[in-house]
Amino acid sequence: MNKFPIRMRASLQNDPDHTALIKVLLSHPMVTGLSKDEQGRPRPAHFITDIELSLNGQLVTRVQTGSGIAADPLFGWRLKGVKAGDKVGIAWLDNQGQQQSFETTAQ
Amino acid sequence: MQRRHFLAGGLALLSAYLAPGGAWANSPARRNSNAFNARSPASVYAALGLKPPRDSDAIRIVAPDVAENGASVPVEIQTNLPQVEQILLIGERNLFPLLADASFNPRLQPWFEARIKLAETSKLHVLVQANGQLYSNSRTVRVILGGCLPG
Repeated sequence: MNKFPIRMRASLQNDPDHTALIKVLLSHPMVTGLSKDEQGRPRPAHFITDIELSLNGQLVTRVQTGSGIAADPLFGWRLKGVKAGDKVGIAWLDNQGQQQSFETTAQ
Repeated sequence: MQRRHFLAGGLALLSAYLAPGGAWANSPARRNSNAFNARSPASVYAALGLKPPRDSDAIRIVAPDVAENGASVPVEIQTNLPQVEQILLIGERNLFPLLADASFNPRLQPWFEARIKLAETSKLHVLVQANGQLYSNSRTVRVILGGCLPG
């Protein structure tokens, strides 16, 4: 059972740039390290630090994030030059070394 | 015994790299930890070595005027500045103001969407590096319930 499922859609916009609207919903607690749990103990920081977007296995862009991104982060990009059937991939890495990736087909 | 431990450790490392869910092929970009750990917008600017930005209406920030819950505030950034290289999101009154540092290139439309945390009512600053120049715009978001409460 995957603790951190990813949902992603890449929808072609049928425009001259062949843009795909990419929406990604990650599962992650994004803990700042400033809060305390029910017992009053500090909750250690746990947040995604790096995100990579790829097209057909080639890196397109990256985002570095801090703990100020909302839990279960949502990101959107508009990527040009995408054809139906292209593979759009996402990968993340967090400050505890955990990582996850996912791929979807543009349509 | 020790050798077995060593081998097991090596295998664990290897499988972490090869794990099907974790295809983190490239080493991540070098992180400017000072910028992400900075406690004020001014120290974020200093850590990133940014020159004072020029205010620009060409950066459009779509965000709610009033956010019920600062723990998740939807933000959409759009600009018609040419050759966008980087978009930075900065929450003025967050304890750690730098929220995200997104790289851009000509393969992407100059548009970005994210959900951010805002600790309290404050300005959201958006900096855009485009064609070697730094531009900024900001928008005030009123926050009813702060986004840095336990949870």
